[in-house]
Amino acid sequence: MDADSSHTEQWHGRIAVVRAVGAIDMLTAPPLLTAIQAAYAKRPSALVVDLTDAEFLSSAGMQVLVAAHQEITVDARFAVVAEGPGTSRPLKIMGLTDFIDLFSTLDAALDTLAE
Amino acid sequence: MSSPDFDTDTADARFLRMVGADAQAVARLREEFTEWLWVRFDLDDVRSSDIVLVVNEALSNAAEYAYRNWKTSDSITLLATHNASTGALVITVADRGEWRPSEPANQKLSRGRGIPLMEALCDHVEIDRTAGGTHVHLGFDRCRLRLDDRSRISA
Repeated sequence: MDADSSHTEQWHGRIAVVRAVGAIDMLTAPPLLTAIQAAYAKRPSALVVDLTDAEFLSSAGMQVLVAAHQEITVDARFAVVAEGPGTSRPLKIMGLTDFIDLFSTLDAALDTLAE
Repeated sequence: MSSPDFDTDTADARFLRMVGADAQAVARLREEFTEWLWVRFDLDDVRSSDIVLVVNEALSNAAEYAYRNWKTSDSITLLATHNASTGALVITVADRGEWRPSEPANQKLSRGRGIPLMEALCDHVEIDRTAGGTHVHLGFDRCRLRLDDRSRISA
């Protein structure tokens, strides 16, 4: 098994979606932050981090989401898509959902952010 | 006849590995442990996910903190033992370095969420910090062995 993670950037109108696949650990979290920042540099109205196909979200990954939220919500909206025990559960348990918008599907996120 | 990697009905299930304290080795070890967990145990999705999550945190902490100030990296040991009669699975992650969580550079990646995550998801957590190294013990109760795997091994 390969503990690899890759990212894709996709746009829906002015909403940027950065999709992460695989494990988000100490190795793969920094490149994810880089990918998020690269998408944000293109000035989206909102940025979504889609963890639908991520295996799990470590504390390193959570810190990336916190940092991204801080940076992006200055002038744009930020949301995370996650469902399942490996991703949405640590987000809820560690209280990140108190301030980060979480959706269980990308469609739900896009519907809300397009308003 | 049983090979060293398999256990008879009377012994507890066991996983023991030692790797270098770097992020790549940690990722490979975590994948290997995840596979062992899936093969040997009958766990629901949440339980197995929780176990992999906290094992990853303990391994990552060892890789990130333990050998920061050493010129060459040393090793991390992962030992998991299951008691078939009590159902208790105990996982120990040990390193021989010295955690320095107060140094800002070391805090960078996780910002201190690793240990709270362990405490939230495990049934028992114990962290022993000594001059000789750090041992993290993660306990999960009520873990059942996968029955079909056991009969294959004992045949």
